[in-house]
Amino acid sequence: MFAEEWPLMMFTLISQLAIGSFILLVLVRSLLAPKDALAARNLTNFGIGAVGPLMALALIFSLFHLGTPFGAYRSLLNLGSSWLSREILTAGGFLVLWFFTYKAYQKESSGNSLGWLTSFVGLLTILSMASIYSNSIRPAWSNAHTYIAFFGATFVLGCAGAIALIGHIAKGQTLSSEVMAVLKKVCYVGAVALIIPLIYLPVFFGNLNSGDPAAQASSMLLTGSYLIPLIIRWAFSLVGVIMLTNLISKQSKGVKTLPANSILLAVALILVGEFIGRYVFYASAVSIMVG
Amino acid sequence: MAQLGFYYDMTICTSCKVCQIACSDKNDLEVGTLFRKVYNFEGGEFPNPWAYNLSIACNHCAEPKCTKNCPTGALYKREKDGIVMFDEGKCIGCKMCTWSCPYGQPKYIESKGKSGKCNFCVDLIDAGEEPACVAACQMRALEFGDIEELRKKYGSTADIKGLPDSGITKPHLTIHPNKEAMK
Repeated sequence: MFAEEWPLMMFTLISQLAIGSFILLVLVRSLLAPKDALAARNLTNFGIGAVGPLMALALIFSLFHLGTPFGAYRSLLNLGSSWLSREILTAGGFLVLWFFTYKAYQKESSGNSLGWLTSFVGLLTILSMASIYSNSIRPAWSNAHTYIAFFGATFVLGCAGAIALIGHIAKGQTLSSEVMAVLKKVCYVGAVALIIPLIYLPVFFGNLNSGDPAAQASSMLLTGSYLIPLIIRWAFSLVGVIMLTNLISKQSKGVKTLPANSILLAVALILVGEFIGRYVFYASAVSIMVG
Repeated sequence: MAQLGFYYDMTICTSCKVCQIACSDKNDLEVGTLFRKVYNFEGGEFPNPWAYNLSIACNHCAEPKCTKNCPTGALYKREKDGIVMFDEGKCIGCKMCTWSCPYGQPKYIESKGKSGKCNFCVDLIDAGEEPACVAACQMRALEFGDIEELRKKYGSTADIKGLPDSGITKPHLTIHPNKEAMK
């Protein structure tokens, strides 16, 4: 499975990381700007700058999925009905808008409206991405779980990405209470984005178990061969998000610095958790078929 | 011209697979890729065992998911007879069609980096001939033609055990099933 689907695993994960990080960095910037415009700019400019290369990397990975990569431009030819066409259009649009946002954010006094517009296009990319799988003939994909999982991953990865990028630029600095309070909110967004898919999991299994034979086969895979990876995925993601939230909460009451090693460990746990989760997503989808 | 479709008489099919071979030969397919495939089903227990065959290709559906999901428009319905056509020049090998068809019909061909599928032997049809699979069937278990005419003549069974729900894509296929295959 990995040999076949690794380009899509990398594309979906990295683009969700890029889009989620961008949205949460714009959120940090918007919340901080009225209180401390200088900190808002200094803490987020580096991270926002990193989002574009990340998104470009994701798009490059997606080319490896194609049998004829030089024809990739033709993927825009069926926007009327194909979610894959819409995904490529919105992902490309996000990258272009990111560039203009990044340039605008370099200036002293720039508003956040362009940042929010870019975020909206990023969310449309995630919607298109989830709709591709939702419109397939694999019951494990063609339901609400795909949307919940993809939007959840976007904000969990975004939380990890935004904190890591801010942590990198704020290394050794003592941050203000306002900054710490905003970072705490980012962690809460990540926690909520992790808990909603977890709560939905029993509904997802219930739907699969009451579905057709292909749905039941997916359920058997998830509760059989992929049960251990699934448990590890949730354990890693939960520990990572709890660690990150706890760390920011503690620091906001104490010395108000961002300890790089602890943050990297929490972020690594989240990334590995999401990676395993995406692997299981691809590996457990069984097609309805003749037979 | 009206929408074309296939009729398959399961009760006389012997699973000789000549339809499968004729299709592969006509389309010059490499080993392992089949645009038409014969499936064998068996079950029951002594003294009442049963077996039936199912020969299936693209059903040139009324609501094909492959044409809807294809990002390049390489898959499209031909207006004059509703055949789901495939334009190899447009295909980019994204495999979206293989995720979309409940009958597992468009096939990804690794050596080409593109997909491929049954096009109803459109060159033969346009020349007034029969598709290769229909012409080759020695039991006359396969027919093709205006699907409404075929349905009038043979009924409109497209839901049998072993096939996905016909409501998903509304296939232009009608089957004379064995009693064991009936839903």
